[in-house]
Amino acid sequence: MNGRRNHHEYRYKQHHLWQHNVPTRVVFWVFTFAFLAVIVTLFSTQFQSVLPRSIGSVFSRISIGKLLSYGLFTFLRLLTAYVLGLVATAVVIFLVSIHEKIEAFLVPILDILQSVPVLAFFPLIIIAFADLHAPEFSALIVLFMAMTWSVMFGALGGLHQIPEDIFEAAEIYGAKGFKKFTKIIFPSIFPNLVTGSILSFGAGWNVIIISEYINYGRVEIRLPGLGNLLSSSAGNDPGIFLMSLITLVLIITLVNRFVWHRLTNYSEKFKFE
Amino acid sequence: MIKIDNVQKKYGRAAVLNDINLEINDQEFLCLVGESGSGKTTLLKIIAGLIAATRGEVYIDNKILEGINFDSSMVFQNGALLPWLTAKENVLLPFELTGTNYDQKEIEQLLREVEVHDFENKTPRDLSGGQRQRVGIARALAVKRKILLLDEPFSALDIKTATELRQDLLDLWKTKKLTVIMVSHLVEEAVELADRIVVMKGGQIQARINVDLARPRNPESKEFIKVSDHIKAIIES
Repeated sequence: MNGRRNHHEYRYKQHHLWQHNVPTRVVFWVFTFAFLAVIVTLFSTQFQSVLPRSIGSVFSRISIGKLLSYGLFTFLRLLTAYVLGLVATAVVIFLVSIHEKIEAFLVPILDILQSVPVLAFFPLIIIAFADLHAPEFSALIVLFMAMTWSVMFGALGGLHQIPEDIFEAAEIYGAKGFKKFTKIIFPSIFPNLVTGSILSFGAGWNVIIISEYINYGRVEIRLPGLGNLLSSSAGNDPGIFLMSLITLVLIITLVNRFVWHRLTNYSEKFKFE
Repeated sequence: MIKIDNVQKKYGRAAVLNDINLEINDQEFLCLVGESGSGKTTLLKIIAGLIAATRGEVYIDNKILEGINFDSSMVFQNGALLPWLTAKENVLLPFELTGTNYDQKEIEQLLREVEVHDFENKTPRDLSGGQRQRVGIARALAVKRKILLLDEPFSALDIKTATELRQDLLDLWKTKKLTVIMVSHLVEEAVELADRIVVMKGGQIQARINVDLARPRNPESKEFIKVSDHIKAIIES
């Protein structure tokens, strides 16, 4: 009950802040209008002649069902890569929490891996999985490489923020192994995981085009998804391009509103003062 | 009985504890006092098994301590409570962590005894400093270990709350027949509570003082002030 009350108090404060903090509202609307102005300018100059015609007949070239299913495919691909990243993060955090020496060994390796640019690494992955007729795997690996690090390093940062006396109390009261991880460490780093996850999805959306529309040498792969749609329609079908963009923005907004916003509020209760 | 035999603790080349020899009797109330950096908290953590000594041994009932001292429980300066759990859930945390059963009636009784029951469903965020320490004490007592270690438990509290909690701690020490080792930087607090005070300085034991004053002790009495001044003089020397 108390947790629920805290949650409501927090939500109230957030709402209150939004209602009464004029600079916040001004910044929000300035950014929104700036974004819309860029879109309008882009379309009005580049596609002035073809845009109205293209939009008018867009649903004869692509159905809403296909647009939404492509959106769903892209989202599921991102979600799969994210879950894989989350599992990898859990394993790393579990290992690191066992002993400082494991951290000293693992973190430099992860640091090198996270600095490998996903685009430079990409051709090798494409060729490998194209030969195996498994293009979804190449897309997943590209997404994984782009999405995992913000969650993993966020969680590692969170691990170091846990007060020392919490670990000491856990040890004195017999916490070990998996129980220590699930009862102490995971809840303690939960706020960092949420923040890392938001950044992770942001990074994921950034690479959907290169993960779904692959054209490298003899290899050409097109996976069903918004990235592919955006890439293939850019420059030749502004109607489909715009609809894909709107679908993308819609999905990002819904995920943000119904997942990340709620999880961010919920994670407040796990924060140490 | 706890025996600390020639314990030394070094971090790199710097020794934070040197030649510590000390015996603590069952059901004794012992206070470790000294300035910051004197090594008192390090010694407490070595007794808890949280830190390994560089040299020397700690014996609990004639057995060498290896790893965590599961004959002891600990109360921390800031409570060390988990913010997402209620007060009662924090008290029950040791059972959750080890998967062991507990007696519901005994826990209810303990929560009443330590005066946690009124706010048992509140989270630490909604508790005062004194209430948090009560939860920390209740958690330490719930596991029924014979040694209670306290690391400056009242230093962050206001005078009135600290006075109340000190009295409650004395009552619990007597009724539960505990061996208590408490770190404090307040000489008056140590004189009010302890059977014996160990004064630490520069990582060494500077003095061991038996406090033979009858309880309850009056901080304004001549004897109390005399003992306090004597200890302060040792610390400042």
